[in-house]
Amino acid sequence: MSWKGAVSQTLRELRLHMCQTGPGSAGLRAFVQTEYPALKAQYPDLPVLVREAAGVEARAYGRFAHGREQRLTLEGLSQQDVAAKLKQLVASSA
Amino acid sequence: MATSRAAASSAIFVHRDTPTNNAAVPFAFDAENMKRAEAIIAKYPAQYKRAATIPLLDLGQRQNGYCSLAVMNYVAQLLEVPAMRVYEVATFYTMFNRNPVGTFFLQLCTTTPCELCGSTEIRETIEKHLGIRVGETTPDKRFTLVEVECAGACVNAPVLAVNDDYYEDLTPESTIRILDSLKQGQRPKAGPQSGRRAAEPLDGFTTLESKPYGPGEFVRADL
Amino acid sequence: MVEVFVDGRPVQVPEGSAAIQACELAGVEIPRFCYHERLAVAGNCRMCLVEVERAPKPVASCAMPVMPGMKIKTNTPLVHKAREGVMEFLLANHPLDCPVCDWGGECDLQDQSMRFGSDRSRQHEPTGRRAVENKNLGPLVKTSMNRCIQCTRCVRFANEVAGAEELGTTGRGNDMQIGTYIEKTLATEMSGNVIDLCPVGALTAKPYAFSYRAWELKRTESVDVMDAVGSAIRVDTRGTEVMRISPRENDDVNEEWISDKTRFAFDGLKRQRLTHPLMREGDRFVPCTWEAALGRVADAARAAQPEERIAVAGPFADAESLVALKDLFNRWDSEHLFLETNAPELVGQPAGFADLRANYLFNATIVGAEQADAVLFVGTNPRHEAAIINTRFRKAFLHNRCDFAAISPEMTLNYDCVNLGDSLAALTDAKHPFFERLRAAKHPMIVLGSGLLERPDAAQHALHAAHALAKTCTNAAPGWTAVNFLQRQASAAAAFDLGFAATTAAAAAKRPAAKFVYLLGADEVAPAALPADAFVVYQGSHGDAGAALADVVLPGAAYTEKSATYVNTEGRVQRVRAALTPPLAARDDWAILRALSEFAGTPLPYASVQGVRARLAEVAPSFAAPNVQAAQPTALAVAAAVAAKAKPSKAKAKALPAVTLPVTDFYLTDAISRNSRTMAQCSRAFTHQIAESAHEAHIAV
Repeated sequence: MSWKGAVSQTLRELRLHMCQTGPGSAGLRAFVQTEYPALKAQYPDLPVLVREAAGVEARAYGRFAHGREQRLTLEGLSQQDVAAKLKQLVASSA
Repeated sequence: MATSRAAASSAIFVHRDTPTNNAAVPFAFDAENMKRAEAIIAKYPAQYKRAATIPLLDLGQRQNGYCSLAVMNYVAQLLEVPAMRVYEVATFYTMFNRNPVGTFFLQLCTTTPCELCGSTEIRETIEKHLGIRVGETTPDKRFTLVEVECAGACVNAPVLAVNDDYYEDLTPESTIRILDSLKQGQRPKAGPQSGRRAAEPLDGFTTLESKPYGPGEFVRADL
Repeated sequence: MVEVFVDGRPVQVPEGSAAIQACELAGVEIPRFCYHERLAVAGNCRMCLVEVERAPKPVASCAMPVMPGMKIKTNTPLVHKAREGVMEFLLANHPLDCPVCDWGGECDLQDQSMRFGSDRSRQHEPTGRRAVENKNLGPLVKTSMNRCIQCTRCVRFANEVAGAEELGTTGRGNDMQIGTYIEKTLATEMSGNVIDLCPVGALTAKPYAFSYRAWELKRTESVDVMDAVGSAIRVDTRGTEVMRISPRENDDVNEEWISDKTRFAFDGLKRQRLTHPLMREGDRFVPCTWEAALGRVADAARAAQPEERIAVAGPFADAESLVALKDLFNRWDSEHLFLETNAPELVGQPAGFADLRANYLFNATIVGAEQADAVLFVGTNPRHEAAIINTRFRKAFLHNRCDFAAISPEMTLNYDCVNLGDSLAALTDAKHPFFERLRAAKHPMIVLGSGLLERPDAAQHALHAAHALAKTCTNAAPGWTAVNFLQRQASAAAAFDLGFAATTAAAAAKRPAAKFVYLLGADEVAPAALPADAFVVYQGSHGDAGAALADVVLPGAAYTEKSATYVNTEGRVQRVRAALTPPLAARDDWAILRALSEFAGTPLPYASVQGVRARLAEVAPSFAAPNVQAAQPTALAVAAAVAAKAKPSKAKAKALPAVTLPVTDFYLTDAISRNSRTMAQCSRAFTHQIAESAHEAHIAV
């Protein structure tokens, strides 16, 4: 998947929380494994913090200008749905 | 009033640097001793080189005159063990003289059997003849006198060990004779000084006087 | 499991345990002096004697392996007599020093004599006790060898755990002495642990000798921040002063040891403290009120553009203040946040370094380090940077036949380590015979040091090369992680976790000259990296190099004075607890930032500790689960994939600078240790090997 032009000017940081083994985070885990290298290659200076902890529900936080944050739940979603929702998140200028 | 307990040993078990006995003084085995050392080390498994500590310290002591700090450090380096391990061995055994001793190391046994046979008189004789007390070395650094524990020659008491030789059955006269001999650079004949060969009774054998019986003798005729 | 009977009660013990362990499991207390769970068995004190059925004599339970069906009796008249007899012998040569001995009140000999010994002495002689010379082991360990009972715990610890093989026993019998034979100090960074191990007052602490009694102290459980290991400690205070720091047991982190810096640097907490907000007027600092100071800072922040504001976090910044500072800066639309490990030039991180936890944590875990059988150090001296983890490596060396090699300048470790030079080309080449050993190892480890981060291109290359090398280690056990990063500062892992240190080198290179600089306890920033007209704010506990550069100084709390969260180099979240209150007008660090946010017109959404901690969990979920170490499988897989794409080459490696070690003097690494008199003495004695004068060697503080 191409990430060219996918990220808005106001996105400062993307945080992805997931559980290491839980089924609800499977989609997000697969997304990170597949898409992270491409996303970073396109936006090397964008922090994409991948944080795993036991029993945590899959979620994403986008931090935009002036500290405004938007939170997304990605629990139980498939990799494609995760990709779609995240693309939406990073494109917004919340 | 209270004091501490009298020390059981006159040795001290920490090292004091002197101008001749310190870590800066070098020591190494000479070529002949190196060969001996390698033969000794070869007796033990490769991962237990430290088993050769005692024989190598003895070898170093013989070459150097006494077991100085340099000898201990050299042996440690040769056996690839930390120096402290060698210090532990050297301080454990009284055989390792960690301070210089005279050319002739006079070790007089003063344990019970020798005491009963007159070692005190022998000690007084030596002290008077050489002019030193027990534990001291003569000013010309040729004789050191120490009292030691049982030398294992009780039948031939009193016993004086000089370096590797035992002089037994001593009397004050024979003691003086031996000391004078040593002073002149001779090596008097070791062993009993009373004329007997070994530890046999002084006034003749009381056993084993007849021919020992051999095969066939004193056996029942019908066997 | 084997079943044995202790005083008639059956108990299941693992096979190969000693009888004393069986008794412990059964809940019976066996007195002992020489036995210690973490050291080899000596069996020379004879205090642990118990009666075993069908044994002709009492048996030393520490040295007796359990047999199935063994019947151990610990409460019989024979055992009582044995204990009283042993105690009588021990006390026969022990000086009557209790009133002047530091150990009184917490002494094993006192306690066991009261509990297990006879109630009266049979000694009447005026000439009685053995006298032994005191040894000079350095400025930390005070020796009163008259009191020594020759249990040899110190000798076993020094030789096995600390690797300091200069301590031993000389002489024999009643004349046996513990010492170094020649005049030598106990030059190891773990030497202070012998003070805890010694069951009597023979080895005590020299820096704080004669200054307290154990029952006067208030004990607070906390965690150490002098390095990134996060050792469990107990802070003992009396009134408003920290009197000493002792270790606590934590099998997963520090077992029961702490390094000398952890133990003795606390006297730096009493010197050069910032106690009031200060404002610079010309070349002097003038005390002012909090309102004045914070107002001034807020005005200066507003005067600068978002891109012109930067923040640098020092080694002791706790997670709460890091997240507060980051949130504050983010609200100002400023993104340039740095860690002191990037100092002195503020270069930023390699791209993507802070994204994946597996990049910046000690993935194999501290306990896992013991299982390593081949370790490659790159740009790190574990002895100086993480002394506790170094003891684990030594354990691997002793029990696991682990081989070590290092790509760094020459360094002396307490185990054999081959030096492969200081060029990163050696890592990419991987030609040295050691690499064959690494590839064949079941638990290979590549440990990258935080010093590499001073040059982000070198750090990135090293990381990618390490992953490439780890990929060739096909014999590694499943689930084992080969690539590890060793942090040396307590704030680093938390800063990376929170995204505080996420500014990349590329972004950092593009930023304009800074006009507003916020130093959160950062003292290593090169003055040349800060423009002369920049407004500098220093928030910290000590008036060290950073405060000297500041226009406004805000006094914060040290680690013994606040309740805060730190993350150790494995990613384990731990809390320090306040044992004291901050001095005078100093305040909790995160609270200062919260107040500043109010003055700046951008108030942070939390005003309580719970609020900050909730925010921490929102930024990084590991903060919601303290005291555990979380594996990062996804991050690891991604890191390996990224490294594979990068294809680190020998040509690139040749262009990189030589690897250096960040710590030159173990005893003087941060504001607290630099202000400590004890650490200064240690630096003189151990780093520079200047012998103490005879006077210094024997006086107390």
